[in-house]
Order: sequence, then C-alpha cells, then structure tokens
Amino acid sequence: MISLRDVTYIYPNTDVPVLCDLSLELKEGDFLLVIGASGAGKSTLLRCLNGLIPHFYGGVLRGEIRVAGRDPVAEEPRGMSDLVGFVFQDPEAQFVVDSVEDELAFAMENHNLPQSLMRKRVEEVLDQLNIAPLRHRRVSTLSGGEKQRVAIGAVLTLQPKVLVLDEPTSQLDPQAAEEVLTTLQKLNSDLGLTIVLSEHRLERVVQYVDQLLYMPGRGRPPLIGPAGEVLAQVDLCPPLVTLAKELGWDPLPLTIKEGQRFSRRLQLPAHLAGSTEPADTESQPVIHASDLWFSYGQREALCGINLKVGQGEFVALMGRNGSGKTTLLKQIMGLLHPDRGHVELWGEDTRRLKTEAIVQRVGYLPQNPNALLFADTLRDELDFTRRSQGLPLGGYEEFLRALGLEQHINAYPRDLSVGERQRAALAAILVAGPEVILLDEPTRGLDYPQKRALADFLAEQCRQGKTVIMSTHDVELVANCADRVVILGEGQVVVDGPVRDVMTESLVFSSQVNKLFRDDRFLKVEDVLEVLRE
Amino acid sequence: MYHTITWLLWLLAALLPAMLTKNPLYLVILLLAVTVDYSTIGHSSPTASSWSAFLKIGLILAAFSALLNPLTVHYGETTLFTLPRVILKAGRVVFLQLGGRITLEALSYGLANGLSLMAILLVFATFNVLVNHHKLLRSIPAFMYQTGAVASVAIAFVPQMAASLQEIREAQMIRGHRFRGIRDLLPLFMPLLTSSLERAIQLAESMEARGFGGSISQMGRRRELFHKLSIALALLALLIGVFLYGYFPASRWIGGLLAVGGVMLLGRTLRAMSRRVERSRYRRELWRRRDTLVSTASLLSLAVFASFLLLDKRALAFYPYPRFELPTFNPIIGLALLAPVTPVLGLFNRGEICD
Repeated sequence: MISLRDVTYIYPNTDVPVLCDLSLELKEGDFLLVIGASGAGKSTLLRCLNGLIPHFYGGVLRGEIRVAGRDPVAEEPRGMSDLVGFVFQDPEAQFVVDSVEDELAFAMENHNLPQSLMRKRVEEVLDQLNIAPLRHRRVSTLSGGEKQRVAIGAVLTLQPKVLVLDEPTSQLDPQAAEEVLTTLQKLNSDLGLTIVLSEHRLERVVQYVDQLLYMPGRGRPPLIGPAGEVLAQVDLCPPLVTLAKELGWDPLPLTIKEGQRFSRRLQLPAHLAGSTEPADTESQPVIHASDLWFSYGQREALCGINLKVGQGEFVALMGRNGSGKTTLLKQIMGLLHPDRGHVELWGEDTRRLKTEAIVQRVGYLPQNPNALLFADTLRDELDFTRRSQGLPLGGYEEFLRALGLEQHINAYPRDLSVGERQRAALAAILVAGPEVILLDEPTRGLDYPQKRALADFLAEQCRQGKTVIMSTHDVELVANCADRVVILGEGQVVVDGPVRDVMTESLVFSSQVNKLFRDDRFLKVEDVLEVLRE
Repeated sequence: MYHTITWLLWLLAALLPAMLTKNPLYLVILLLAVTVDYSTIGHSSPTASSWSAFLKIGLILAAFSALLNPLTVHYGETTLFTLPRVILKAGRVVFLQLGGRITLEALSYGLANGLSLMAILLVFATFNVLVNHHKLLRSIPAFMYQTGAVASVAIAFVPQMAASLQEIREAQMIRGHRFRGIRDLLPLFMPLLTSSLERAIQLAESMEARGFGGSISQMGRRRELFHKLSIALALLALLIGVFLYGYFPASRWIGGLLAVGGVMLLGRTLRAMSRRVERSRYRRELWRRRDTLVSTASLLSLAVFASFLLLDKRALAFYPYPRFELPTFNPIIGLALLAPVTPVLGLFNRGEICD
C-alpha cells in the first residue's frame, strides 16, 4: 500500500536532512505507529505521504514515494485527497465551515460528488464514528475529542484507503484521547483501513499496532518492526515496558494483562504496615481556600471548595475537563475573585491583594506556552520577566541548566520543540523566583523522557521548599513527583489525600505500575526495583 | 431557522423604510419591530452579543444628532429657549454658531435624523444576529466560492482571535507586565500574530489535504480574457444606460434598453463562469411554509413602499420647517412596517426541525 524508497528530505533554508535514506513498506490494512523525539521528522514523514511535502513546504525531496501505486509528488495534495486522509494535531485549527455536517461534506464538495452520494456517505460516516448526535452542532461547541473525531470523519467521507494522523491526541485529555484512539482501532479492524499514526501515548495504542517505526532524529537510521522488538531497543517507553526491561521479562508485555503474567510470579517481600507520611503540620497554610464558590454567568465552576496547602507540598490537581481545575488555579492567582468564600495567600485575602503583589510570590504557567513567549531570544524573555518585576538582570546559566535549556539561551523561543517551549515558558515564569508554582497541564505533547525531566525538576523545586500545585491528567507524572492528590468533580473536591492512598484506591487515577501490583508501595518503576534490591 | 433568501428579503423590507422615511412615528414602529425580532428569535444566536453593542452606538449617534442639530441650526418659528451664543468666524464669514435660539423644529428634525440613523444600524444589527453567515456566504454564486470560503473562514477566525487575546493578556499580566504605552503592546501582539499565523498555516494545509481549490477546470487564457471583457462591457452598458435614463429624458428608451442589455450580459457571463467550477453543493436549504409567509409579507411591504415612493412621496416625508407640525400617520404604511416582525410567527409553529 505504502512504499518509500531511499527518501531524503531537506527543508528550505537548512542543510541538514530531516529524513535520510528512509525506506519503508506497508501492506494494506497495516497499522503503523510512528514514535520519536520532537523534531525527529515524524510530521515530515507523514506529510510526504500526501504530497504536503514538498508542495506546501518546498525544500528538496529525493527518493521514491508510492501510495497505492500513486505518486504524491506528481499528484499534489489535492490529487491525493481521495486516497490519503490527513488529520492534524490541533483540533481547533482544521475546520473550514461551522457545522459538523457541512464539515463532513466539505471534501466531497471539492470533489464534485453528486448530492445523493454525499448524503449517503455523511450518514455512513456519522454512524461509523458514533457522531450522529453531533450532526447539527456548531464545531466551536464541541469538546476536543469530539472535534478530532469530526476531523477524522471529514476525511473519511472521501473513502480514502490510508488515514494519516499527526499526533491527533497531543492536545486532548486522556478520556478524549481514548475516544480518538479507540475509534482508530475500530476503523483499522472493521474497515481494514491502513493507518499511519504518530503519537506519544504509547500505552494506549501499542497493543493494536502491526508495526512500530522509531525515528531517532539527527540523521541516525530509524528502527522498524513489531512493537515489542522496537521498544526493546529504545528508551521512549511506557513505565510498564521500562519495568519489564529492567526485570528482563520476555516477550515484552505491552498491556497490564500481559504484564500480570510476569508480576504474579515475582517474589515480593510481604507488605509492612504503618509507613504513612507524617500528618500535615499545624503551621499557617500558604494557600487557603474556604467555601469557595464561583460561576461563569450561568455555569457554576466551583461549588464550595475547601483546600489548605502548606509550604513545600506538591499537590496534583486532577479531574475531568471542565471540573474546575483551571478556574481554581486562576482563583489562587487572583485573576478571578470568588463569588462567595475566600482565597487567602499567606493569610491575606486575594481580593485585597494586587495582581502585581501576587505575581512576585506566585508563578503561574498557563496551559498554552505560546501565549507567553514573544521575544526574539530566550534571554530576552527572561529579562522581560525580571524587568517587569523590578529585579536585576543576568546570571541565568545555572538556572537554565537545571531546565536543560542552557544551549538555547540565544534561540528564538518559538523555534524550539514543544517540550523545550514548555520549559522555556516555565523558565520565563520561574526566573522571578516565586515561592509558589502553579502549573496548568504542563505535559501536553511531551514524550516520556521530557515528562520525566519535568517531574525531576519540579520535585527538586519542592525539596528546596517551594510549594507546587499542578493540574494534570497525567497519572504517571503524578506518581513520579506529587505527594498529595486532589481530585475535583463538578467544582467540588471529591478526593483529597496522599498520592499512594488515592492511587491504590482508584482504578482510573492509578499509574501503570500500581495497576500491575495493586499495592500502595508501588507507584513507579523505581519503587519496585528498590524493594527487589532489598 | 429561515431560508437565507427569506432573510435577504426581510433585510430589504426593513432597510428600505429605514432609508426612505424620516417620519419618527414610522421609525419608532420599525425600531420596535426589529427589537422584537432580536429579543424573541435572535438572542440565542451565537452573534447575539453584538446586538447590544450596535444598540449603544445607535443611541450615541441618535443622541448626538438630536443635540447637535438644534445647537447649530436656528431655523424654525417655535423658540423653546435661548442659550448663550458662541460664534466661530474668520473675518466676516460666520462658520458656525453654537447655542442661541433653540427651536422645536430643529430639535425634532435632529431627533428624526438620529432615529433614522439608528433604525438603519439596528436593521443591520438584527440581520447580522438572525442570519447564518456561513449559509449566507454559501449562497453566493459558484464562481466566487473561493472568496466565500475565505470570508467564511475569516468570520470563524474572529472569535478565536478574541479568545487568544484574552489568554495572552492574562499570561503577560501574571508575568508582572503592566500596560502603559504603545511599546507595552508588543508582548500582546507578537504571540497573537504568531499563533494566528500558525493556525492559518494549519488550516491551509487541512483545506489543501481535502482537495480545496483543486477542481476549477483550467480555463484557457483566451476564454478568461473573453469573460473579463464581457463583464467590463456589460458594466459599461449598464452605466451608460442608467446615465441616459436619468439625465436625458429624450433618450430614455435607448438608456433603458442599454441598461437591461447590460444586466443580461452580466448574468450570462457570470453563469458561464459558474458552470466552469466543478464543485457540488451538499445542502439545499429547505424552503418551509413560514418562509413563504415571511417572504410574502416582505414583498408586499416592499411593494407598498415602492408605490408610495412613485405616487405619493410626501406621505413618507417629515419636514418640520418652518413651523412644527405633528408627523402624519398613514395606516397602510403603518401596516407595511409590521412586515419585519413576521419572523416571530415562526415561533408558534414548532413542529418542524430547526437547523
């Protein structure tokens, strides 16, 4: 179905090839997962399949590409559109018209299909993807997962043979990502659609895929093969696989079920009771929300939140989208004020504090780092924050080294990869030296090593006496660095407790390692290894 | 909830009286009619919030006109009161006289002018709220569909931009940034610009990957030139025709013929161009009974105003000088002014699926 032979591609105005002599063969009905660090050429490869490269981006392309015997370079993206459906990363930015049904028809209109056929296909796609209830909705009112499913539907109406998706879930929360990935798996198994997917959340898809392509970047040769074989050789692994590699399990388990076959045989020392963390000291809390209510017009966002956070705590704020996580962070930041109740910082009501005063002690990283970065170099960004708060400039080297950004100090921040950009935004906030750090979903679009680095950095900040509150969907990140979990549901605190207790009691908010053993000693890979070593 | 054609007819039927008459009684009826439309059908529309902004602008304009006219114009026989005068002059020529004698005539005329401005504004505001822009753009001729698609995308872009601007403003504020001067706007606009560009590029990719713009069959150069020439010719004929018709009563017939010929040629060329676009349309909008109702009412109202315009212009006029008289009221015109409120009747007919 897809064949690439010695494909080399160089972007315009650069001389380092992103793809270097890449060869690849895919059969009809194959499900290929493409993984690799950001900037390794995943998107580039995908865009070669429908001719967006080189037609949209320019540059130099060598080698031969064939999709179902057709040549995307000769036919251009338009010509390939009935053969290759392409779904993009950002669910917001790929819609042309406003209603779901019209969006589904857009590609068919471009291909001048008769009206009766269009109607039939729209009905089919609505049913295939389970989006019939959305048909009259405006695109802007859909949730992220619904948007991505509509985007998939919008290319499926042309009945393409290949579906290409460029990190379709990187902007979604886990439930929405699950929706999208399940849909893909169904399309692949029910319709025999050939799927090429690039994705960070390996643990969700790796069991369905036929082939795994690992792109190491920097011109090194890629690895391709069955998932287990490739994962054994790379370090972009979910915790389950990392643990399995450490313990030498063979064949590598890809699901919890497969893993349990090995974990049950493991000789683990008996559980010793009574190793709970020390109780909260009775000192004055840094953040204290009492009976906090807030609504956006008619919609209630927070309903009677009570929360105390002490100095040096690392709190993970979890819960579905729309459960009030961001609103709560904005309340603490003083960007919003409560309708009823109080938020106090170091004993002072946020209503009586000026934003400028709060900003000096509390740093807040918003969800979208792009909203923050504007200057020509990273150094300028840092200077800007320091100057805004009347602090002396310079001396950033050590600080940037802790974030792994020291070589980028003169780089244009928007040219950095997603993970680096996230850290650059974090640097722009933390350079002012706040005592409290608030983060709103900092792991979107990060791969495992990047998440790991972020977790280590934040844990270190916490050890230095800073207080961290992080809203996130990422269970593994929480398992790695938080010590307390607060779960919100419909604007209320549903669960509040030490991370080990919460994870062991929950099925959804539980890390892979914990699911494997169902034991509150084990949240992350290191926990297991440590116990085994003893 | 109504067909786009219905809304266009509604717009004509509401706009024509707003532009033709200065009679405050009629204008008040019209203003009430569109307000009723907005508050019953329009308030759930996604663009509903723009209406009150238009209302505010309208009120300011009306108030301005109602105040400025009596302050600067001193005709009229009924003096209300006298203010101290400010005269702006250069040598002997008086430019402007502010204050002085304030007459009822000038006040009422200013008020009528203000009302008419406000009526025009609110008619457009209501249309803007009621009509579905994307459907409106889709009903433009096929040869212009690319322009339509671009406009449609642009409309969707505006709310997204507003949302990102809010997000960016917050993000810079919590970095301790304060906005004091023009230079301080840079951290606001750079992220806005770059994120809009990034989004635009992704949208362009997405459209391209779905075959947009691919199916206009290639026109020959000569054919394209021929189309352009015939459009130019048609417009020229129309212009000369209208000119002759209006200014040279002797050659009215020739002028009329030329104008009609121009229109026909224009229509033919546009149709020929549309046929070259190989693109189908998914949706035909449904024409429901209530569309017939509203369209008929709008057409009748247009007919009423057209006949008054031709036969009895004075019935529409309001001219208080030199002596104030109460505005006249013709019940037929009053009735015709109710046409813009007929869409409300659709609310009582809920059996059909709305889309």
